[in-house]
Amino acid sequence: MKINHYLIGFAVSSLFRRGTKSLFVLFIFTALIFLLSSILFISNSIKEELNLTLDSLPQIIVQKLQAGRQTNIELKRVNKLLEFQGVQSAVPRIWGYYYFEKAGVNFSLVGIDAYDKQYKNSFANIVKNVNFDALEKTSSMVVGQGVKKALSENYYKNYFNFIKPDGDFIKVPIASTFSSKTSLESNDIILMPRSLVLEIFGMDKTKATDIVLSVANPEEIPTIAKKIKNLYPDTRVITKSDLKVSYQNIFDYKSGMFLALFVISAFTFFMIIYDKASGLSSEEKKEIGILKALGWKIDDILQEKFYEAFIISFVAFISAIILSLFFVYTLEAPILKEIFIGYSRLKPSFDLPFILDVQTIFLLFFLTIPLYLAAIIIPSWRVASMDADEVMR
Amino acid sequence: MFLTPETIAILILDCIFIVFAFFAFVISINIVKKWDLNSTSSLQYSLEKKAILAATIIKYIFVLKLPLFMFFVFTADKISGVITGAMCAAGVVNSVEFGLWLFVFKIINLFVFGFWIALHVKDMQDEKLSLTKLKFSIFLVAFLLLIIEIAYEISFFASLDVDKIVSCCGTLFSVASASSFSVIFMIPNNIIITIFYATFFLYLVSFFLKSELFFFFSNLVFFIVSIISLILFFCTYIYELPTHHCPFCFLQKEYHYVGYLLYVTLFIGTFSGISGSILSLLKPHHSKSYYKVSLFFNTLYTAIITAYPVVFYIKNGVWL
Amino acid sequence: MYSSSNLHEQTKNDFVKTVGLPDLAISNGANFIRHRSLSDTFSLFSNGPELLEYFPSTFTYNYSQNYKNIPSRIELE
Repeated sequence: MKINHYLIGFAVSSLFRRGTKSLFVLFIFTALIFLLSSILFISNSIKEELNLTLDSLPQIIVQKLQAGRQTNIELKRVNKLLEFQGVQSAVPRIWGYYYFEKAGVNFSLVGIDAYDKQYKNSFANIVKNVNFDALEKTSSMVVGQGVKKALSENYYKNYFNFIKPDGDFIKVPIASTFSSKTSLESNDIILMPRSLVLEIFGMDKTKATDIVLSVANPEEIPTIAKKIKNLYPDTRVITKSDLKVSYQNIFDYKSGMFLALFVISAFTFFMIIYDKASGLSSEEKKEIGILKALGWKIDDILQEKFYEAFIISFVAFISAIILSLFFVYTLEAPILKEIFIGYSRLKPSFDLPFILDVQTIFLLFFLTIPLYLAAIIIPSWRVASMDADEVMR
Repeated sequence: MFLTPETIAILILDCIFIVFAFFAFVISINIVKKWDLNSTSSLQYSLEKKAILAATIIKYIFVLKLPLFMFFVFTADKISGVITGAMCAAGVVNSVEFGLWLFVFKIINLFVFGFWIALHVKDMQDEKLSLTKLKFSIFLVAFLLLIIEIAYEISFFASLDVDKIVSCCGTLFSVASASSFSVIFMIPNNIIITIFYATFFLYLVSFFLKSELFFFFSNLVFFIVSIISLILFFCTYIYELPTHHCPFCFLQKEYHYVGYLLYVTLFIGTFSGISGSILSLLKPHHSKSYYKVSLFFNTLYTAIITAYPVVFYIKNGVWL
Repeated sequence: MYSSSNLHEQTKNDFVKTVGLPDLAISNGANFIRHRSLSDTFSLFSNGPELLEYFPSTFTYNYSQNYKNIPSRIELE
């Protein structure tokens, strides 16, 4: 198939001649692609943000289930787990949620051990001014930016009174905040010494929330996970690859929902285009009559119609992508990002990593342009195959 | 059901294809039954118009099928991150029994639809439209193939199971496995290399003889032998691993997406050879340019694929 | 295409290493949304069985699909 430059020129000028009609279709199509691509861009960026830190996650997490719910796991299991071949370390963790009623938010409290020297360097990188040991000595806490804001709005500038299960207060001073670079991860997190978390939650000292294992050889992880499951049938063993799958799936199910809605709107759009392409003004009919009288074949007219459609859909596609890139990464997706944040009162600053991969562009392409072209096939064939004498009359 | 944005996109396009191909199918039946160029009836007149619609629809489907095939491989690659045990598209495709058949049908359909377009272009150049009846009878078959492919594709996405542990390409493409591939792994390396270069030589001979029938068969054989030798021998040099025989992994970023280059050159080379020689069998005055196109791309493919072991040998001084 | 200017990969990795918990602090309307990778079908029920889709964010995020470790009669697609 040769590309005929004169036909393209004719198609362009024909689009301009029917300015308002083309503009209307262009506008709707651009808006449709814009919405779809914005949502895909936001979700891709969130996925990218998650995958960025995937390697730093624990290799195996062991949780205990009782009556179908997660409960605290006995500390004596740690030693049993350490006996497995290949297990390098097994660390019991204490973490959980603290509901701060006045602001109506959930904080995530994480306990940290002073004797875990491995954390010392990374700790220095994420919290400035505060020494790891000082945290333990003064029994203070490090909070995320969002927590800090929620607390200071309720006049807790330098400390916070946690309410224990028995009704007593524990006053914990705020030592510092996490670096704002990590706000997407750290926004609602409070880090404090283990003993403090145990006290706030009123937990048994012989128990932990879950146990984290590290394995020397990553190849052995599935085997070790299976062995743990055999030894303690009441546990749930979550490996890093499970977490990875979960990260991969984070939107696939639900952005499928978005797409289900998109299918409906796309079908509506299909109808609009079909309708617009079949309803011809007398002037357009006359034009086709003249072209036919001049010796244009059905194929030529069809081809010209295709060029028109392709130009419109391509212009809409490109401008929608540029618009949504600007909208998502420069304006930080106002309104649309509320879909992803939901109810949470602790809104993190939304600086998403810029990511644009070929596959997303292809996906958007396949979801939009073929639809448009399909909508015009039959109407333009009908137009093109009209007889010259019939339309000229 | 495994619904990701990618699979939904593919399924939507499949639906569009079915609806439009069905229109074309109905038109084709009418044409095959009632086409008579000498008649001056209004039926013949409307059939001639409808033939253009059907041809437009088939062109539309083919033009989309080409990039969609790559998109499918891309998607399967992406899903491999979710399915336990799968490391690339091979694992995903083989996680259901008919995965291989889906692929075979996809490739056959690309050839058939591509050939149809070539036939159509040839037909439109002919004032007497003598090939019209033939090309629409071919479409009747192509429509069935398309329906089978789409049925396979839909049930493929429907039966993907996130929880099932699948075997990865490392075990699929090896002698020890019981997969459908394992039979051809009995062939030793030196024989497969000999066969590959022998078919290429045969192909060159057929090029110089300029006999259509011979050229057609040599292209067909070259295509099949190329794929087999790629899996058995050449891809181990792409991965620089003697045990890795996967025809999908080199589509990934780690190997600079070289697979797309290899498959596209092989496809253009053999496709232009096969369709060109059929067309000249049908129409003796067909232009001979397809010989050169075919020769260029097939030689390019052979050159690239030969370069891998040679470069490896120069670098390391040993064969794998 | 990736841009590295606003990634701060090292700092973020250090943070995750220290805290050891997955998922982003984007949505914390409920705990099965906050650490969704660690939650399961039944985390939802702790808030009351009738509250399946109570938070707006649960329309966007789901609990984790790592249900294979949990014995349950709920068959998920």
